[in-house]
Amino acid sequence: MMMDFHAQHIVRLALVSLAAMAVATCSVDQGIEPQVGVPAIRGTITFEGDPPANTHWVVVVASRDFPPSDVVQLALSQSARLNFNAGSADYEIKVPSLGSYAAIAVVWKAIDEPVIWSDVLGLYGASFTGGISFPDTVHVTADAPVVEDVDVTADFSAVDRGAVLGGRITYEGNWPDNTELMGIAAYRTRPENLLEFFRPAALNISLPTQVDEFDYRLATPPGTYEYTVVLWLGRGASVFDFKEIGFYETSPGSGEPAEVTVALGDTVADVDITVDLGLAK
Amino acid sequence: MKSLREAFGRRTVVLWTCLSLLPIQVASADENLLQGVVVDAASGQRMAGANVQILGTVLATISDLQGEFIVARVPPGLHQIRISMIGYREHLVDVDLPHSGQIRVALVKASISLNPVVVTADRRAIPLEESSTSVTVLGEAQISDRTNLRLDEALEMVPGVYFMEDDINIRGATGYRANTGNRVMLLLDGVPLITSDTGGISWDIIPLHEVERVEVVKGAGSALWGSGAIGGVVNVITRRPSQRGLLSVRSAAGMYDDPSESEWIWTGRTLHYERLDVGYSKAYGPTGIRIAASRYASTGDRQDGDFNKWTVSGKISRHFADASELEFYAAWLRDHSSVFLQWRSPFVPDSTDGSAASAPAQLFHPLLSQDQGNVLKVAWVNTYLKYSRSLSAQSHLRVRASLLRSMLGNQFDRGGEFSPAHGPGVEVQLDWLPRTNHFISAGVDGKVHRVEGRFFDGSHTEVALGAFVQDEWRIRHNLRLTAGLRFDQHDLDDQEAYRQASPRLGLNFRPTSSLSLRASAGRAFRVPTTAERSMSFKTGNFQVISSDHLDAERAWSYEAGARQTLGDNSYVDAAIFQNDYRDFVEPLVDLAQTASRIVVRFQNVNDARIRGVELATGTRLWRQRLHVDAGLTFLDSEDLQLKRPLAYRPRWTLQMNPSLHLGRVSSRLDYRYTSRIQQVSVFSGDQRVAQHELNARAQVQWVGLSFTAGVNNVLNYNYTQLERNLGDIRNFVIGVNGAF
Repeated sequence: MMMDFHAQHIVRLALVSLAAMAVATCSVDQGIEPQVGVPAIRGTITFEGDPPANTHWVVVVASRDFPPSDVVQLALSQSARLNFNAGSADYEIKVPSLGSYAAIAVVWKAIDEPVIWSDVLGLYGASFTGGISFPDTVHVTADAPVVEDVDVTADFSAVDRGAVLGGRITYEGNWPDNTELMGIAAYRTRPENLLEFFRPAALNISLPTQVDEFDYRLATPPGTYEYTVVLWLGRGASVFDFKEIGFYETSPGSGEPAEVTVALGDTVADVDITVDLGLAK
Repeated sequence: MKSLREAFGRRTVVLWTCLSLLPIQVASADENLLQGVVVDAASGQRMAGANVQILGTVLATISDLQGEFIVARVPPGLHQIRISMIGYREHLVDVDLPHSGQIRVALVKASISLNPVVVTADRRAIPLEESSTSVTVLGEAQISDRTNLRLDEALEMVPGVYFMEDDINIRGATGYRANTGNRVMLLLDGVPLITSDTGGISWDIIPLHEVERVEVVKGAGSALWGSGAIGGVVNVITRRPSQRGLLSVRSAAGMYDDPSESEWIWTGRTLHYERLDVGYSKAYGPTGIRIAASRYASTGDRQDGDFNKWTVSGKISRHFADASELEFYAAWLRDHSSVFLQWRSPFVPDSTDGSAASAPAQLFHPLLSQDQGNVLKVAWVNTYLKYSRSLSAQSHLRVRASLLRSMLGNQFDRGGEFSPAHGPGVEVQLDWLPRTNHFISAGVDGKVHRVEGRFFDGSHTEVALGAFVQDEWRIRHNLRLTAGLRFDQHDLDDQEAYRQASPRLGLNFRPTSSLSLRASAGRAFRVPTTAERSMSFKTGNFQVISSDHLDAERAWSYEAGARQTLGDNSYVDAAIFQNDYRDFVEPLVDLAQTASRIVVRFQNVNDARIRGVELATGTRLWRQRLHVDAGLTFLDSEDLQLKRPLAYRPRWTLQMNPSLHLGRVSSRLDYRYTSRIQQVSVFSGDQRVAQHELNARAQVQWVGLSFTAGVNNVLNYNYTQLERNLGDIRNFVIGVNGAF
């Protein structure tokens, strides 16, 4: 009974103190405040090469991170469609929030095909020849909400896929229940970093799942490919979680990537790949 | 046409048959009537709504408006009667039938509702302190004192409960789902009030001023309530018809202030809202009626924030000479609400920047100009018929049939297209006392969900059957063990059936009269709704596509807690809990299909865990003039694969509710703090802040009327619960309540 009496007073004291603190501490902060000036990134795109006949549109997108992990943010940070038949085009992206944008990319879309990350014509500040360099970050701040002169060179040859790689993918093992996507990608050289990994020459991430084998056809630019690889993505995972679960080998089980060359207008149909589904975790 | 056995499996039919053949003792001719009256000890005023239970039997009733009660079929001999009511001390009285005659019970006011009776946690009336799970009860006063315009506003003051728009979260179960697949089961008088298409909740169809009390059961409730109760149960209990004619009126009107920042002022109009509820209730002999109507309209505080809602409801109950009772309830809702998906931009154009001036950018305008003027039209009909009868002092039967019909339509693409969803259901429950220390509840229920419409890729039918049994074993006078098991089967279109067994174990121990310890563990599940499986539509830059196959969500829920009452004026309640989820269904962006439009579909994602601590306390000071209630909840949620917090779960929530009562005048503050949401699904780059919400009220009682004036969001604090949707700005409200 005496314990109840003391405890009751402690509870009362604590509650009254807490109530007074709560009222006192929520006095001045207004929470979200207005941000003046509509933030934007502007610049000029210079096109190189001829646009492929199946070109649907070309836009510029701004990504908060690189490689991009937030597809939604990409969809909301786009310029209007560019006039890609002119030698160059000015653009403006009204970005949804202030902050740093790790990549400004020129994105190409084929008619009746989804956009995938191999469809990038150019990245602001990035170089793919004469040594790899990552894209430059653009900072959009309250003091400078509009960033000008973010110019990019866009090379249509990256998506001029006039050749075809094909073959049979044979799946070994059991399909994981959480399989979300299966894809196949062709790289001119085996990627050694994220920038290279996210810039395949050709990519298809709509392969069927839950099958024992599948005959694929992958449209690519003509040239030589040192690494043709099958990719797996688990349900709910981000694009960073793609797993390489099989590649085109010099001989089955050799573990050595095989090179394949395809000419413009040709199809190489024997790029067969055996996939170990046990690696899909 | 499939036979019942083909449709639901042999085992299910056998289980149903067994349950229906549970032994029932037939009433004998020498059973008696127990009659009495409940009054307030201080004033002598007769009291309606008191719970009367004859201990050691299944017999119970509630006092009518005259404070009178009658219980039939009481066996002769000595009995102990428990009378309880929110706001009063529990009272025990011994009677000797048939010699006791009419009894008179005088209840003494308790300054705080320390031990109200709850009916939801165990599907029968038990004192709160005997429950093995955490339950919070909101009484009539707690609902009406705040000039709440909807029930969800009152529920926000329950520890462990928070809302994301219309989605209720109990201990973080639901997150944000745009009212599609709630993880909390909403019941109205024990009857599920969840739509058959989206699994959504409409708080507007609940007649607010007809609500007697609300019980919030925290933790998994599937062992008793089946699919949908994976994250808890909210049971809204409406009043019974009054004995004498009673006209009740409840009105409120409010006006929005200007936004806190002059740059955000978007209109010169006065923005306002108003709500009017009118009800009438009367008993004609053994038959009572209660009808109510309401209108709730608002301009909203933003463009396309306006709505217009009408509700009509009615209840008829009839008591029969054998103490059985029949109750019919029906409610109709019409809701026309404009659509505001998200704000246009948080940025205000710089007047010196000519190019920006052409793009109006404000928080109070919708993003897409083509959305302007779109109206979401909702029409609901909810009805149930309940019959209850004491078969003997040891057995009680309840039967109910219900129908919820919801129609959802909008004008995003074409006007006037509605998608009706029908959910007829039946339930039979038998309470049985085979021995004095065992109380068995068993029952079967079934529901058919029929959904059609262009939002759902055609027509869909889901047949849900469930059977449950629970035994409450009173091992000692202060130790109760509850063991329950429910089996559910859901047949959906041509898909493989979902089957689930949901066991539950609960323990309640009262080492002293003021301390109650509880622990429980249970399994729960939720079958994805038709909307999650089949919804398909696009609007603006969003598109929702149907899912090929979704598994049911499953969870194990564990809890341990203690409740200590401190004299008559204070209590402390603490609980720790953990919920382990498998195959969480969440709306996710489809990576393969998102390009210029965000494509979303529901998917079974990862395993998840939500654990936390919850504290609740209340005290009465200064001769009960100053009341202080508070709740604090800590949530630790994690997506176990992605190793990050689950979206839309705040880590901390705090409620603080001091109130001052000086005779006819009272005032109160309601403060609510929600920590910054750690993880969101869509606009992760947006600015997010913690939420501080302070509401103030003053109330005067005069000539039988109650006048209230108040301010919501006193600080005019700007926050977003859901990305790009600002919470309500400061608004002023006045209200008048009365009953004649």
